[in-house]
Amino acid sequence: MKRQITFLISVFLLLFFSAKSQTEQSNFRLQFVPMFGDSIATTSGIVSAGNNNYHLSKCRFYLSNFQFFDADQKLISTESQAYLLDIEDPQSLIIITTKPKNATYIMFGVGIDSINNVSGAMGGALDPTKGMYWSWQSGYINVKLEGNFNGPHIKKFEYHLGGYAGENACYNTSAFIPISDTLNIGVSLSEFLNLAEAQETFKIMSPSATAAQLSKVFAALFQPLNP
Amino acid sequence: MILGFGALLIAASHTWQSKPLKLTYPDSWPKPAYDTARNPLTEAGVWLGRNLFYDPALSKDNTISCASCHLSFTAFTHVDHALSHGIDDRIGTRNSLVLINLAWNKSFMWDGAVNHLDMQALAPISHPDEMGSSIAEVVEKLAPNPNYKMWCFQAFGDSNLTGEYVLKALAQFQLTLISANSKYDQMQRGEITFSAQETRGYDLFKANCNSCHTEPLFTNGSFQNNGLPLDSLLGDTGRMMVTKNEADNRTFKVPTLRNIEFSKPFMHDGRFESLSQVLKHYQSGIEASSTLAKELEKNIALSETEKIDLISFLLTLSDKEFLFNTAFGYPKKK
Ligand code: HEC
Ligand code: HEC
Repeated sequence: MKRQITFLISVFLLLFFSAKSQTEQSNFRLQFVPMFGDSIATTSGIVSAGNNNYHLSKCRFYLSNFQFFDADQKLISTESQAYLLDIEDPQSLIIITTKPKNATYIMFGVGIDSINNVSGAMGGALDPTKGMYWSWQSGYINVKLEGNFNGPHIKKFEYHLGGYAGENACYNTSAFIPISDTLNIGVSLSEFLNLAEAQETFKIMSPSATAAQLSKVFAALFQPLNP
Repeated sequence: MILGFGALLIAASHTWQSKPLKLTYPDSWPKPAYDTARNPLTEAGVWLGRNLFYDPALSKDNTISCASCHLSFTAFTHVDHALSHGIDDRIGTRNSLVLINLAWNKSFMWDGAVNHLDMQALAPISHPDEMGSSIAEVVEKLAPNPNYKMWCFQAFGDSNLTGEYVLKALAQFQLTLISANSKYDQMQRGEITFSAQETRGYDLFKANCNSCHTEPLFTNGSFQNNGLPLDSLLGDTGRMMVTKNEADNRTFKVPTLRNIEFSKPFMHDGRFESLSQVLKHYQSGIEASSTLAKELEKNIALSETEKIDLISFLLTLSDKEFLFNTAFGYPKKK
């Protein structure tokens, strides 16, 4: 009996404190939407955007270091967690976190920063069993994008973007994105693919200057969608 | 009462903690490069790592363990094979490296392609010519095993084996592979004295070799071209394969010379069978090239007696206690 009372008191205390902390922070839902032009990108079938047709077989990427800013674009808080987003796992495209009450802008890292690339084994989204780590040379693969350009000739593409050292560093931050209570962020894959196709880059499997350049392009694809 | 409940919780959450281990090494040595704060060593962690190291289940066809190429009584290198043999008897392109004093390594592999001891194991596990598996496959295979469940719980307070735990445990075991009790170390501590021949060899070593094979670890961790003619069949350009920088062409990581008596064959491709062949290389075999190390631009002149003196010094780097340490051997079930 005494034990049960203690237990109840503990539960009340717990509820009390968690409720209190929520007055300064509120839950915040971010939905990421990979896009081909105006259509939502999927891995099933061929998608057209403008004059171009694509077949996508893989789209996975890391986001990390979510930062919240106030109306004057002053940093309020940073959340160092990394998330692995995978188009084949719709749940992974939704990030639920807490935001400080006065947050007006958000900015996040696209990829894994250099510190986390040199600090040894890590768990969760960063566990190497997730298949986003090179084995023969240390480093996370920030982005895996694979499929075909279905033009007059079918042309395979395979982009594994990553690398953390020097000029080949592939970690970038997104633009400042104004936020509301929930936020949908589009990821314009067709923009990326059109550019890569135009410069005749079809395959990237290791860190390089091209990987670094295309990583900048990829980080710029994240833009809020009009509701 | 509430306090009591809290204390109980704390006690419960601490029961899994295994005995912490500290790396022991001579006071005069530099601090290890490995940050053990991120992966604190424990008895259970090292035990888990040791079992993984000797477990052939880490390879695709369950035939090859880490120890197949890194045997403890040969300073954890692959004896009698110039190039390491993996699954299906396919031959890798490089000679296996010794696993000695890894806590001080700033980078791993002959070309430094790996930046952290934790991440090193991914390379052999995934390499088609070595173990031919993947870390995801290894975890899937081992996670249901009740022994691994128990050891993982004892090591990390979590019975679900993950990639992170496999890598951290393997690193913990390998960090304990410290060799610091050779004749050379005993001489440094004033416990014994060198013979006249060993002393002459030591002086020759300090004059000609110490700039790269720097005491007390007998490597400075840098990448150098020591003038080996390029093996045209393997075409191994070393560090340049990682940096893609011409200035690194044919440079390789300076290997430690500790226990060198037991780690033949020598060099990244195992081209030399004996220490006298190695000395012959430094004496007259050096090939000039744009990336050749400055110190080696002139051949090292050694008389026949000086060669013998130098070898007698190199033999003082053998550490029997390390080589035959049963704590490093095949784990007999406790
Ligand atoms: C088929 C043989 C083979 C197997 C199996 C193997 N290794 Fe190796 N190991 C090598 C070779 C060869 C190298 C050098 C590779 C290079 O430089 O490219 C090496 C290098 C290393 C190094 C780097 C040492 C240094 O000083 O840079 C470590 C650490 C290591 N191995 C640990 C392991 C572990 C742990 C396993 C088991 C998961 C393992 N090895 C399995 C052959 C093997
Ligand atoms: C300029 C730096 C440098 C100097 C000076 C130097 N070495 Fe080396 N040594 C290396 C490098 C780099 C390697 C590995 C080369 C490779 O495999 O491509 C090596 C390899 C070796 C090996 C083979 C080790 C193994 O595990 O395979 C031995 C033995 C050796 N050196 C002995 C000596 C001796 C003795 C001297 C002095 C006479 C000396 N070295 C001077 C850089 C140097």
